[in-house]
Amino acid sequence: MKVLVIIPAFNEELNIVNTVEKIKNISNKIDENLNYVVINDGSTDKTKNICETNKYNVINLITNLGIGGAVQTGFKYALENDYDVAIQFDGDGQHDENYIEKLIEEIKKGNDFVVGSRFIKNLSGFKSTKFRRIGIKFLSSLIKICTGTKIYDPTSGFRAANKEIISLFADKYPTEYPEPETIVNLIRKQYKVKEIPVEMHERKYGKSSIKPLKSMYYMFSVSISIIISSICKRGGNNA
Amino acid sequence: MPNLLKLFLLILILLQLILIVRTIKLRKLSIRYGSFWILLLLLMIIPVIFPGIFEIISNFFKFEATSNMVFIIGFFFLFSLNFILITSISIQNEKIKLLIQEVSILKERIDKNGKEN
Repeated sequence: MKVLVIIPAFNEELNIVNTVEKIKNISNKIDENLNYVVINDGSTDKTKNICETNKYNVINLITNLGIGGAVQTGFKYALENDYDVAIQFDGDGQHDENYIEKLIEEIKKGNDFVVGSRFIKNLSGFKSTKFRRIGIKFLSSLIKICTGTKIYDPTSGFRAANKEIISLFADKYPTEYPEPETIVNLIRKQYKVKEIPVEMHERKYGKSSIKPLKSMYYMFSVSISIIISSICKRGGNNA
Repeated sequence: MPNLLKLFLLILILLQLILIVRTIKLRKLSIRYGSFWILLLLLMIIPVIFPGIFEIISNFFKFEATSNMVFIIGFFFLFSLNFILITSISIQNEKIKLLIQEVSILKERIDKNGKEN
């Protein structure tokens, strides 16, 4: 199977080398035909230079699109190059590359979409701050109410998609707060969404893109987006 | 406030909410701006149901009439909304300019290569 790891990166000059090298190492270890692409989302730091001097496979967006637009670029790339599986993997070093194989396995078992979740089993590792955990729990219950399916970590950015979902996402992908909304849409369209436990690490350098001041508005907006996409007509054409 | 007027205002808010949700669903309005309007409409329900709140606040700040305070709130709200809109237009202009430049340079390069071959 042809597998593409999509690494969105915005101002990750301190983390990007580490992340890409981890992916390169793991691709030698496992059987799959594993490639990666870094989507440099118009970084204003040295991310672009670092990727070019290291001869990484990188797409430089000429201006900042936001996480949704950057990840969608990756899905478009996956579609064009005929990949079977696309895996989202954050450029900040939070995700553990050793779980990539497990995500691929679940796709092979016939799942359409696999989410790497921090909260299913009590694996060790970083579980985010207390405040954010409460927020994630709230979103998780909201999704349960709206769709009837429990997703423990709806904001996880560590996810794998099969070929059908790749072409769906390449066509339409939300620009803002994409993670929870896409999960709701896939469940509503009756795709097989599976969650598996993964470990995550605290980011080594730099700040998360979600600022505390804006997080209340973030919570409200994400809730609205979950509610609205769950009341869409079934078979609607929104991804 | 008469109950009939309350009902009328509530229906108006409800219709607005439906309009916004529909527009978001059709992807003609992004969630970020859409949820701003939804939040505002939800907040508007409070003074419709309890109009006394505005009177208490306006008495506290010594407005001559409650309607004056409502107008000033509306004025500042529209002012800041306009400001947000103008900034987002400016950002978009900048991005479009960048796109046109990059695409033009690319096109020029492709055209040149085509002629050489």
